[in-house]
Amino acid sequence: MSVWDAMRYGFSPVYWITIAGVPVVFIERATGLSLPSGYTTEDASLVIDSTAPIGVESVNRETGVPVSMPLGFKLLDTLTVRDWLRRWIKSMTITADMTATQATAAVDDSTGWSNGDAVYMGLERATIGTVASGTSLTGLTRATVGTLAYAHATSTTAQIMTDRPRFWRGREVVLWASPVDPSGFPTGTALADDAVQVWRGDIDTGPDREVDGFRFAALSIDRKLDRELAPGVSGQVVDTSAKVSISSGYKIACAIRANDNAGGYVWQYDLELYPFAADADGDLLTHGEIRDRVIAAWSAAVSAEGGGANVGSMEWGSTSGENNVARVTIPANANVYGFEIFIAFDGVQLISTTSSWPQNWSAATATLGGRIELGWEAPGNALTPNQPGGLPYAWMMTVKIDDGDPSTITAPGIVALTIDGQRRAIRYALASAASDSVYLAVLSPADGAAALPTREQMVKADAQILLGDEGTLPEMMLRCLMSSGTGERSATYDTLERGQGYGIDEALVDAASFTGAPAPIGSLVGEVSSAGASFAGLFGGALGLFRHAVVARPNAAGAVTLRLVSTAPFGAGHVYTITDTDLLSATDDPVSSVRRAESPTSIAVVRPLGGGADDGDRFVFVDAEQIDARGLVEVELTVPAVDRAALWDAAGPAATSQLAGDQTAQTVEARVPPWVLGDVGDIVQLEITHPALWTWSTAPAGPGYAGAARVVGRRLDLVTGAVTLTLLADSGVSVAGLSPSMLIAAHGGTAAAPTTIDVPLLYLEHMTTALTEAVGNVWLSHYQPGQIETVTQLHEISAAAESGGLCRLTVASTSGGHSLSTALLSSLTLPTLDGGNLSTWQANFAHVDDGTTWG
Amino acid sequence: MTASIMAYAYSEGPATGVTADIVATSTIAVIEESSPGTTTYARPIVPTLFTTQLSAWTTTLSLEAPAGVYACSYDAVTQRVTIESTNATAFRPVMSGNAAVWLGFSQTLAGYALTWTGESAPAAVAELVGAMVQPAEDAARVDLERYRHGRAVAVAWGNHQTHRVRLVFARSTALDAIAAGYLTTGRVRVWQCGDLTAYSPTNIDGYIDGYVIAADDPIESGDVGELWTLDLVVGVAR
Repeated sequence: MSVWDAMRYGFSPVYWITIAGVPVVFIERATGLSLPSGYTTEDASLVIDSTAPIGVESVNRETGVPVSMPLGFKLLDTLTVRDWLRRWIKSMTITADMTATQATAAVDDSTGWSNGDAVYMGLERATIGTVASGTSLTGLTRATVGTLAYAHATSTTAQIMTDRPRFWRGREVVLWASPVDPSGFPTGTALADDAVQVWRGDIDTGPDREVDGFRFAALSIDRKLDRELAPGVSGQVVDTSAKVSISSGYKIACAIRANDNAGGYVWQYDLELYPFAADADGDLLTHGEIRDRVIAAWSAAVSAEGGGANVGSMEWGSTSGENNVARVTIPANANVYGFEIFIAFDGVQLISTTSSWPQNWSAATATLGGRIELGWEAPGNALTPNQPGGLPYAWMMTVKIDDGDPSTITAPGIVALTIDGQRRAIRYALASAASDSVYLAVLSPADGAAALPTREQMVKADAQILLGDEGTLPEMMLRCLMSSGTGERSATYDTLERGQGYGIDEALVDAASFTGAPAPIGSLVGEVSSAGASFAGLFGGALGLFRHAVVARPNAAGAVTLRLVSTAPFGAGHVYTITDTDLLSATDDPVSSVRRAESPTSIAVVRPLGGGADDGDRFVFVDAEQIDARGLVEVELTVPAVDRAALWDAAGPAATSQLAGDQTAQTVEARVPPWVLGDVGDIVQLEITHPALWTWSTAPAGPGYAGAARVVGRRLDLVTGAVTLTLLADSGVSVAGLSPSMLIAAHGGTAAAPTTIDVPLLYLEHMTTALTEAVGNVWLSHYQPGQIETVTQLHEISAAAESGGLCRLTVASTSGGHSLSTALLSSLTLPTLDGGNLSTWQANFAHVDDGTTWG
Repeated sequence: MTASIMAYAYSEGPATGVTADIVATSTIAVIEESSPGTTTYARPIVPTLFTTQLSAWTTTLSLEAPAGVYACSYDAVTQRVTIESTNATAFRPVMSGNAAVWLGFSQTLAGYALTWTGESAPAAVAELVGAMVQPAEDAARVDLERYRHGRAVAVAWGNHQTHRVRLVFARSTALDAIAAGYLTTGRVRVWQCGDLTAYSPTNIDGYIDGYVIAADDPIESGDVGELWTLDLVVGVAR
């Protein structure tokens, strides 16, 4: 029940919008009601009468994204609007980067700013707690008035703080409708009390001046899914040597002492080596470069200690055939009979070496070549002494990047190299950033090739680091939608770097619809590279193949959110029955056929990052007879699956189902009042006699349609309230959702007379709806694998609720004399048509004996 | 009973309690002198005709209020709504939403009494000089029709028949109620005369009950200014 239901009784909606960051409610008429938190002004300046119907016109079933209509609106030329559509008066510039959570800011000049002022930084609005000094703000309250928190860097457009928005494009717009009774009385005490969210999107154009105000156009939130994400990081491979990220303050402390033959010492020095003092933190150095720096640092330390007469230079080598053992030249000295050496590596690792001889060092030096070994072996990284050798050289590369922050490159991922005009995709498992380059290691082919390119091929190759992700498809979709690089949008899904996701707040995504998606789309494991790609490009093929889409529609709480919905023409569990009485017919036919996309005769399923060495990554499913008749009409669907076999298993049934089912699918538009339920993805039951629909499945066939249809579009005319539903009906074959088979996990009471039965939680929604629709108890039939469900073994269910992670059914009665057995896989399903108290709602599902086809 | 037009009140329930959605004309409350800290609310659980709403309030208030037994009524002669306690419980009515206009309680409601009568005619009903209902027309092509009355939108939809209705009324007794808006949008019932049964081809002086699809502006008859007419199109479900 809502403003739309009340319209039948003379109520009308008064529309209002909020624009992120602007504490003004722009409304069609002033109501005097309390405003939402953070909003201070109600301004009667909104005009929406000239906008086209808003909502989803249809779903592109090949890309899984909707064709959503934009919202056009005008703000009249009021004093409030003028005050907001003006240049800022005050501004300052941040002088240090800010994180998304930072409550302080360093600025160039805060003159003129006061405590409590609002500041605009890019799309974000914040409130100043205290102007602590001329160059410092503290106590910032971030992300106020509907905005989101972003990281802001100097030398970007968001470095300027202003007292008015600097730009409007990209700001979120939310359209609401509040009921007004026939006398013009707005209900409730607060504007939001009885309001419903109608639409949500971002400003795309405007403000454009018109004679009496300013016009804006905004795109629906689901249109974002077609926008390309940030490009991959480009660069060039500079070498393929193993490298180590170093710290400029790294210290090697070496105590070296020459002993005499009486227990004393001849000389001793405490040397402090700072080999990377001239480098920057995070610089990547090869093992050879590290050894060279250690040698130089040794000489500097000896000199600083004035030990040049006794301690010579350092070198890496060995008299025993081992490479890269640290040795130091010691001049001949007849008083020296041995050495003690103690080395500490940045306080972490220690080496202690003691040597002595029966003769003095002047005599010993003849056999030892004038050098002593420090006990410091470094076949790989000299900073991790006495460890096994480094990784094979073929497994690593350093890429000098052209632009951007190397620290945003995370592992694992994929880097694409262009070698002799050919593209090679290489997966890396380790990434380490330096100031202008990134070191990628543990490399392996990602393009199906058997081996990596040679070192010589890789060096100087152009590289594009494809920011990647992997996991189940719903998980990757959620990360792509929510990731902002700040971690602020979602604790679970905002995990990718900035540019790899759309940064949509978790509150605007119905995550449960993704994580609860059925197999195969819910379980298929994939890998994507988001660089320069869009959500539709990454996941559209999978959505299309498995008949799903991501659309903006109200959730149960009335908020417009992104939701993963089914677009399959079949289904059960309708939300509304549309009859002739619901059809609007004044201005045009209430039902009209819509030309739909040509049904394919061939479906090609492609795994991305494939090609090259493995042609098997492209599966083609054909309808040979249709090709004979109509020619090749191919649809290519890209599914980023990791496992070729798993994709094959899933794609075969899905593709052949489309080839068969699409031939007789019919699409119609029906105009109905706004109180008719059914949003995109829902099933509605049609009981319509209009001849624009045709029932194929009866004999003889005839006009009109009685059966289920999938809603694939819903548009609302804001002025009249008329709704146009786009409906997809499967007609040639009557396909219904299969009766659930609920495997019993446990029960209360006895096996013969259970009081409760626990089944998997995924059946809770089904059972709750069944009970609600039945307005009373429903019956379930018991069977065990191998048995045929009968009308005799029945359980009367009176309630369903979550309990301990399961769906607990309350049993009102049991008949049939059977006993439950989890060992024998006792299961529950819907009663059959030949008896057994089948409810009307349950009858919408396919049964073994009803002649329908299971979908 | 003479000619009259009466509106339906929109309500989503619940029957009592302070919390309800879209409260404009659905809800009334009472506070009894003996229990001044308790406010008892009443509303129909579905949209109902004005007089049916009064009956629903009567039932709920009598059931839910601490002590009082109540009667809510409308007098077509005086054109006033009366809310009274029938067991000598002093009380004060509380108007929720726009109920004061709906009921004609334009006075300040303070103190306690056994009977409360509205100072004005309710906006939910208008006593007419006459009402003429034309025979039903096929309305296979009805739609959401919009006309400007504030921002009211009149609605009707498929499988309805329409009646052209002319209301004749006196300025002094009905113009304010007509102008309030409740009788020219949404669902209404129009009585042509004293026939309390529904219109049909064999009972053409019966009442019609339907949704206002269109309404003209009220027109003054002659230049005296006392009698006015208003033409409506009312859609009635088949």
